[in-house]
Amino acid sequence: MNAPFAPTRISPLFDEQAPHAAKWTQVETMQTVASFGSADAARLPLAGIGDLSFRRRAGVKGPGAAAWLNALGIATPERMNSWLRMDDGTLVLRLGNTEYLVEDMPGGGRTAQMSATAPTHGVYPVPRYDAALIVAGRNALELTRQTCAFDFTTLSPAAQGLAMTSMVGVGITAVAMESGGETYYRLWCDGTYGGYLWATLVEVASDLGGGAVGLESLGRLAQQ
Amino acid sequence: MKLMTCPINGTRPISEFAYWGEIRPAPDADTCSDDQWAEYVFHRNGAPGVKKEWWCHTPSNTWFIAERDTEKDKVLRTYLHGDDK
Repeated sequence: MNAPFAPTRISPLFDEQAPHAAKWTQVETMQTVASFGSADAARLPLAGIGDLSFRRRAGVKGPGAAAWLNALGIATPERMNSWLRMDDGTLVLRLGNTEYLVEDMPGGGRTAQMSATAPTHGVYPVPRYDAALIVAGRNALELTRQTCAFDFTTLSPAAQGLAMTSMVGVGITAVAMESGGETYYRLWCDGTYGGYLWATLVEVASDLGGGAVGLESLGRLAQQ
Repeated sequence: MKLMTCPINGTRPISEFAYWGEIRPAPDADTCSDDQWAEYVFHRNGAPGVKKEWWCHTPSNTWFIAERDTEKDKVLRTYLHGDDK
């Protein structure tokens, strides 16, 4: 996981995380918290908040966006406001009608391929500087109920729908996923609001027995 | 809770939306009179009634049109620009 060179990217959550971090690591050239302490593992089953901002992302929008992505070998969801996972693990989100967010698995190269390919007519690149969070644990749904007016039970992992809504006043994109029979949520927001969203969710999660969880304890969730 | 229906994202709390005023077609600045231009720039129609308004679902930045009865504050329908059938 640790690369033999200095990190060149900083998580948008760095300022909020730095005072609490116990151990750092580097993923995809981004300095990321490996552990917040020995309580990480106990927090995760209750209400764990993790940072997946290190994943590489690229966005594109416009009437030609879907065809352009398909020409690059990137599959696109058929329905508006839905997502799919490609065989190589790449996550593709269709935001509204003609906008797409592509997120690589660690080591993936789809977003680099997008950045290296000139857009065609009707294709407009969208720079992505997201804070990307994961909310897991059996109290995750309760956490969303305390922080968001949108009903997260309508986001079933099987239906692969996504919601763009407001959480603690921050515009977010949310999807539900499943691991080992447990539903967890992925959230994306503009990086400049990420610190506030992170701090607020961690505070609410701590009331529910959880809190911040480092990358080491996220384990399999960080690899999906 | 007050609700608004976005044509793309569905019914959501009004706190997720921004109101951007009544749709007011601009007169041709090259051919209209000064009075017509002044009317467009400075005057607003405050009389209650059914009006077409710009609204935006801010988390997704979806702009759409709402037909709203401003006397009863009741939204009659919402649709994307160009979908007024």
